[in-house]
Amino acid sequence: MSKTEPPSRSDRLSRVLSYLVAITTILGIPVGLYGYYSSQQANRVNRTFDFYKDFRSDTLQKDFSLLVEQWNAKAADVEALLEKNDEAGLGQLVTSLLQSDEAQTALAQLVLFFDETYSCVDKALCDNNAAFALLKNPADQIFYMYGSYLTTVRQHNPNYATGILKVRGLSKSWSLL
Amino acid sequence: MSGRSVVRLICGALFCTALFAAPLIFVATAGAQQPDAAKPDAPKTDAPKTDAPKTDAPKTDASKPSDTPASAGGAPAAAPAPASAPDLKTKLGRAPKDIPLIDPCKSAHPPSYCNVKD
Repeated sequence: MSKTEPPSRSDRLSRVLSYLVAITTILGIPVGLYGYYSSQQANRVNRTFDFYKDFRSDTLQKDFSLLVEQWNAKAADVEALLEKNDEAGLGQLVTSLLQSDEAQTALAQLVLFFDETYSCVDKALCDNNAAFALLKNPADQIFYMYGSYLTTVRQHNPNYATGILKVRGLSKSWSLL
Repeated sequence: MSGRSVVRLICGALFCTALFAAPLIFVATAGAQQPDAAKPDAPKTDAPKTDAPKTDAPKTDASKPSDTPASAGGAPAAAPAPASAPDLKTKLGRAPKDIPLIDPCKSAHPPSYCNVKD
């Protein structure tokens, strides 16, 4: 029987190096992937925040404020109608608020904005959770103020104001990133 | 190192990488997916001109003080929800420009449209 020779120094070195290569590969690929997906996610959040900045821009804020002011001006009427459970009356009141060109334009701008926003979220170009955190509340507010009007129009044109409803219905989703 | 051990090493590394990466990719993809992503995109529509018939504001007795919940003597005490709206207006002198005072969907009798979901 021949004795096995002890491994030489270069053998040991090459073994250590090969282990290092294996470890680097094993750890490097997931880390690289994580970095890639994180940057994608950051881009999505940035895009959503751009939408939020658009919403807070002068133009859309003016539109939003106009609709809110009109609504608040009729707060007492709304309250009375709600107390009487007069849904038809509330619908008429809301419709009357939207008779002016200004109000119509304001609502159209907001509807368009939320359609664009939801389209971005739906295509995974924008982040769901960021949209949920930043834009769900305004969508909710628009809907509860002018929901009766939007619902009436949607009976004729089901695609109208889909964005507002979709953004309103967003829920927080779990994500590792 | 023999050729066989190199092949074994590479295969092992690939296997481990797949083992680590697969759940990561799955989670990352799932996180980015939206609940309704499979549904077709809603086409952008211009706001239709007022389809709804032009109507004047409904005549209500809301301006009368007797209709406010605080002063409604015979009104049942079961509908207190929106009572704070005019109070806020009174307190502040003027309602805030970007906060709706009343949320009908949180009132005692929420309108049916509050339940509409797309």
